[in-house]
Amino acid sequence: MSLVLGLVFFTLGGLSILAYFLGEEWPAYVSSNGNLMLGLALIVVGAIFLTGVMRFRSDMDGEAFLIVGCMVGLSISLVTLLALLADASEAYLLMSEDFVDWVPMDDFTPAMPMMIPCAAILWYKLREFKTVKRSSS
Amino acid sequence: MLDIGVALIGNPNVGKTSLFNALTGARQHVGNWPGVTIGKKTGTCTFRRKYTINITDLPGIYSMSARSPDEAVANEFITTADIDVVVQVIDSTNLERNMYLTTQLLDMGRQVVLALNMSDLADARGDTLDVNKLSDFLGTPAVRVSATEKRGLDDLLSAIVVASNREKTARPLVNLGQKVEPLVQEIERDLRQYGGITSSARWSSLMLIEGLIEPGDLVKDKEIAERIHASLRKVDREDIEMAIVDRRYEKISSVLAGIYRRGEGKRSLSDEIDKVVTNKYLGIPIFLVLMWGIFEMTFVVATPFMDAIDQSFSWLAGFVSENMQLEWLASLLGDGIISGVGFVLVFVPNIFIMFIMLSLLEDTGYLARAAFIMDRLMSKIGLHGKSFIPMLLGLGCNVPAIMATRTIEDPKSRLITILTSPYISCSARLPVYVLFAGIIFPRDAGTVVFVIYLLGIAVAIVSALALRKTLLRGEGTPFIMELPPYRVPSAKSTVIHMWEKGSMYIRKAGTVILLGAVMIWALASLPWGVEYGAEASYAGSLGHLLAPLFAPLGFDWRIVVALVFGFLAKEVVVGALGVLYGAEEGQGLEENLQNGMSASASLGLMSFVLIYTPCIATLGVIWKETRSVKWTAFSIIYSLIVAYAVAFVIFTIGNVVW
Ligand SMILES: Nc1nc2c(ncn2[C@@H]2O[C@H](COP(=O)(O)OP(=O)(O)OP(=O)(O)O)[C@@H](O)[C@H]2O)c(=O)[nH]1
Ligand SMILES: [Mg+2]
Repeated sequence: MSLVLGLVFFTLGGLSILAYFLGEEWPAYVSSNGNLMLGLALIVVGAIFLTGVMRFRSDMDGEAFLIVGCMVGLSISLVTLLALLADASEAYLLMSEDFVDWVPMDDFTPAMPMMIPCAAILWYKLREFKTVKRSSS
Repeated sequence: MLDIGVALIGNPNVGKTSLFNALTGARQHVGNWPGVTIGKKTGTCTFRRKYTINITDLPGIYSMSARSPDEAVANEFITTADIDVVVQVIDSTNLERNMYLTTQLLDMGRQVVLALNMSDLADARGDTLDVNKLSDFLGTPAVRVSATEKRGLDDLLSAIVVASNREKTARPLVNLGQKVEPLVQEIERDLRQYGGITSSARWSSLMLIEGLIEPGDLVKDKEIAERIHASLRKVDREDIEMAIVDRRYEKISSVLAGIYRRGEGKRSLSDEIDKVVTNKYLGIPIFLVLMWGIFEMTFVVATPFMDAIDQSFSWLAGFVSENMQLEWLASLLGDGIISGVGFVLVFVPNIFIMFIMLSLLEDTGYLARAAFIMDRLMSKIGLHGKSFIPMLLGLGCNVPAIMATRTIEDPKSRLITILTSPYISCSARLPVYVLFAGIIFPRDAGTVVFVIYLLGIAVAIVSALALRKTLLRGEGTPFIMELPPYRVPSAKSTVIHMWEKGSMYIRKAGTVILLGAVMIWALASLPWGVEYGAEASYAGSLGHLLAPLFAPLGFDWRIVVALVFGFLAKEVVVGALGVLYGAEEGQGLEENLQNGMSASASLGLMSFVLIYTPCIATLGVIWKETRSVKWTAFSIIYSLIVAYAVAFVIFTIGNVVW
């Protein structure tokens, strides 16, 4: 699991960075718009998962890495999703000139659907900790 | 009405301020990391319509031996202030360590009430504690409370009232054993003979033995002071100190032995997460990713809100200019106030989002981890992780950040932190970056802003290193900081947090920035008869006077004027640009700026704004915290020089590259 996620994130990050440096006009759903920082962020998440894999192999606390990887990955995809929503409201609510031919696909980055497996794993894993983790509110 | 004076004391991060807020209805700053509160704060609450309880919230301390300035505040208050009851707030999930302070308070002969806070967490973990037996053993009342869930508050207040009526007697809990007790009694006898001390004799002699006060300072009678000196010289002080600590902990364990059982709790999620986020290699990258996320949010998500505000203000400005009869008044309102202040208000969404993110950082407990991760890096420059906290807080505002340095023990490290933390870019500088990055680098604006922030951190680190190596030589002190458990922050406290900080920005827009805008407008309109914003105006003359100095950086005179007024507050910079650049007919500010500035000059300007003196308020605290005109002046001059140099380098290199 960790391995799959790690490789996926790594690839996505790599693609994004590649797109940044090559400046190719790839569609956003491949290149994440060539956003260098996003690419690096995705690589870091990938690295967390892969470290987790190594830890699992040597039978150490790989799980912690899986959980945190999911958390960070989830945050990143939330950020990109919110960016998409922001642009959408710009285009449809405010009718900004810069956004006349904006379509949601322009901002759709592959990090977004990663939200789903991350959230699923988190939800599943965190139940084990339920009793300890009580919110302070 | 009966007045009761109460002090809240306790270890850091046990919920003293939360309890204070719950009791008094105040909204003091709460955060999930040790060292939030750095000064004392008093509030009142009435109880049963009969008692007025004056409660003072204090910074956290682990024991009565203070090392940093904030701890000293708490210490001094407890030892000297005229209070009836000391409430020790205790983290119920961490009883043993918290009770160390309890044993000391009992030695002092204060009326102590224990507030066993965070009882909700202890329950969740399955802890069991016989509270009645505990208070029997200690001879002092103990009450289970939960500050965040507001449970047990009435019980606590009645315990306070009861305690305030008890007669004051010292109830030392711990017998310090064969080695120490005779010495304590010997000194106590001397002190009694002297007579002139205010706190309990036992406590004073313990302070003397632990070397927290010197005999000469406490006892004015030369002969007795000398006798105490002699008794102290007889023994091995370190040995004695160790013995005292041991005895205290032994006593605590024996008290808790029969009545307290720690719940099993499953593996703690906090520990698991910490394994990863404090990982040697991944720690810093994860931190950077999270920071990037914060900036991405601040920049991108706020855009539609900003545009909406922007549009309404341009409409308003246009409406006013067209419908006002009096021409100068129309100009004042339209060109001056609405362009200036309105332009600053455009950035309110950014600021609010920034503060939400920062308060999440604080409330979850990640802030303490960030300090921990950075400790390795910071120790290379002779500071430690604690110095990183003011820097992170500085992302919001430098003023509280500089005050937060009070938790740093070593005065030199503290001074270095005070002088370097203004390079961490505060939210007031954000509008400048957002504006220029948005115009010049629309595609990578978020990234550019992020890089500017990193530049700020770099300047802070290099300056700290330079100071450490030259003016403020010295060794760093070791870094000890508790990592609080992660908590899911409550939406309510996050919103309150954000609103309090964010509304400050709006208030500023109504005061300092309004003033700045009007001043600049006046300078730009006078002397009578010049065309508004023309070079012949006073603003133009001022700008032209200084412009040659800034020509090597590629700034034109209007930028220079804006920078001068930026000393008031950094928001004024954009306000001023709004006033000055908005003037040209037919074009918006953004087009004007785009035509007037090259990309490299803009980057230079951003870094200049980043580095030069943040605002008058910051200078004010620097002066207050250092108590030194010399260091305050140093801060101004040094910042200006560095700002100039960095902007120059960026401009020059930028011209070559582009
Ligand atoms: N679950 C739970 N959390 C609490 C309780 N009281 C406080 N907290 C949380 O504990 C953290 C620390 O609270 P503060 O009130 O800032 O603690 P403090 O003792 O004033 O801390 P310093 O000023 O740093 O010494 C915050 O995140 C609070 O939300 C409680 O009764 N239950
Ligand atoms: Mg506090």
